Amino acid sequence: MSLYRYTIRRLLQIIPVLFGVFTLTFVMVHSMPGNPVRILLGVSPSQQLADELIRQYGFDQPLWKQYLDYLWRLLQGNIGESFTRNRPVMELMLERMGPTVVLMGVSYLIALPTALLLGVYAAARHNRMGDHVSRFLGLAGLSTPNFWLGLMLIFLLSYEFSIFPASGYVSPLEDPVASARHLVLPILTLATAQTATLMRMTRSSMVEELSQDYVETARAFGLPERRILLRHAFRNALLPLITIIGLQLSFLLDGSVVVEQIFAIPGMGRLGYNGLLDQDYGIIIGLNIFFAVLFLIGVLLTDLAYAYIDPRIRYD
Amino acid sequence: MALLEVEDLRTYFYTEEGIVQAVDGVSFEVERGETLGLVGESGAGKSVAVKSLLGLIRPPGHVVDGSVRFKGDDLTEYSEAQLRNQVRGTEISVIFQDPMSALNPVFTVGTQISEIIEHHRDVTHEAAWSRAVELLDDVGIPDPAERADQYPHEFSGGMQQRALIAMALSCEPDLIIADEPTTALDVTIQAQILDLFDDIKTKYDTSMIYVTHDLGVVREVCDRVSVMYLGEIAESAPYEELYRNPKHPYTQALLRSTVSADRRTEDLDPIEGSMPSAIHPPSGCRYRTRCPVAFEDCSRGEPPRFDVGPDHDAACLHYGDGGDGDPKLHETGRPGTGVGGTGGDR
Repeated sequence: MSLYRYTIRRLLQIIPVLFGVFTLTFVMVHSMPGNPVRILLGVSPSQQLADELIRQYGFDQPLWKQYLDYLWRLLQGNIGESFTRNRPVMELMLERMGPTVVLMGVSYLIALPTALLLGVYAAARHNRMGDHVSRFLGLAGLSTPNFWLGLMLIFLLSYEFSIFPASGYVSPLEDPVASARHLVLPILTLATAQTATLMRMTRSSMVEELSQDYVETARAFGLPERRILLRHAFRNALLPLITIIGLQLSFLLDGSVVVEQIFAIPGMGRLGYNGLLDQDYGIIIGLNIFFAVLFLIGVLLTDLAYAYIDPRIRYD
Repeated sequence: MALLEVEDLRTYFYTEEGIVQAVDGVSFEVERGETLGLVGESGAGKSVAVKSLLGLIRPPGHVVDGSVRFKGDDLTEYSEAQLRNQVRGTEISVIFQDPMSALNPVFTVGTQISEIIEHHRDVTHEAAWSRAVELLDDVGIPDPAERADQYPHEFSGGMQQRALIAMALSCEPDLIIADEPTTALDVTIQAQILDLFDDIKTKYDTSMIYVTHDLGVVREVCDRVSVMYLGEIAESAPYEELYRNPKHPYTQALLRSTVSADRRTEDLDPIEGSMPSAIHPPSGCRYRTRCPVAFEDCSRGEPPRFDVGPDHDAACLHYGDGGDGDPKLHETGRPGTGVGGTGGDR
């Protein structure tokens, strides 16, 4: 019951945070230099056409009025209109959600177990060969920027050896095989840094837990090392990792912006990137609010997971 | 034959600073039904010694020499798997110092006890659980059935230690090693736990090694006492004998520096200085650097353990062939009054 009420309370707290996100984003996009109409119309537009568009989109109104208008539409559930594409941002997002969800979801599902397994393995081999190798790989993966990795992968596996296509996206519903072939490189690019970060965190968390007294107790009572590692230490090591695991969902969001651009995947990240180049206020604000909601839900799930795993935490 | 015969045990830690000779030639015996007190300052090697018995020393530490005969078998020759399956938790179990951190915070107390039973005995989960509840009852935890379902943080310190004692009893071991089990507890709780040890010793018919730095606690629970100093046994005797008639200068100093109800702090006589490093221990007798009655021979060779009474031995040259047989410190009181570095003072 208390957990239920806690969840409701946390969900309600999302509203003021979103209000803040909206206000900040609104102020920021409007203080960007440049003029969206000018970008839309090209280098030398006729003054008449420009004035007409400016009036049409309400850019001639005072800023506070534009702000209140936008807020009013927001409260009605409309997160924005794209004036470069003349369509609601929600519609544009829904169209492009599929590729992003597939890309992020698969990367996450690969990164998470790989990182946890490697981390536990490295901790079990603490300061021995296996540990050093995994730590080196972890550091290498962590230090490689995803745009560089993406380009290198394209150069090697696509240009030199033609194993995988360099760009594009095929829905898994249409052609699963072609879809998988197109996804390998982007997922590799996106998952590498994720895996490396989480793996290193897992390792250090496990190393710390393995030095705790309860591990010594378990050993002194004759429990096998494997059981101590996977049951006793891992469950405790997971606690500090939950935060990272939750936050990584949001790292995936910004990773997808870069990766979708490199591999020409028609997803939300690419929509946001192009919206930014066009100074399309609707797309920027709309996507920002959407990402903020995802992030806040991620944080809430993280906190709830804590209560589930750690008996010492109770929400009331 | 004694239940446990430890002979010339040596456990070294190979660190970057040098070889730490944490336990260096320790011998003791534990008879069936007996409680042996292992006493010494922190850093004397008590914990390392008892962990060595069970092969619980982790690198860079290694048991480099000696034998641990338990019921006639040498445990130092057992493989890791043999120790795990045939000794740890079943024949010999350990109770550690800090009960809060010795229990796993994310499992219920019942789960942790029944896990040990299930692992070592061929029983169902339900049987193991009800045995765990019985054990909690035996160690004096009220409402054991409910308590078994609670987590360690819901227990008080004393209750946590009781739970660990229940865990130690779970497979009815022949020997329980209690490593400073009451050091982290309040004095009132400490007395309760010591009473509990008395109860379970009779009820479960088990022998014990009780590790402590507190000679007052030793009086409550121990039949015999071995005093450790810097990785070696200085003196060994039945408790009453040791208390009335301490022979080794270190034991004498230790007794003079012990706080008790009938002694004021100003009457205490703390031992000068601190224990030297176990990386470069003093040559010969390791206590000689702090010993008020040390003489030239003390630096030459390690003093053997001389018999100084019935079932009583002390590793001090004063009791050897060339010695005077009695450093006379206990009676004269103050160390260093005309005796320092010259041998006996009669």
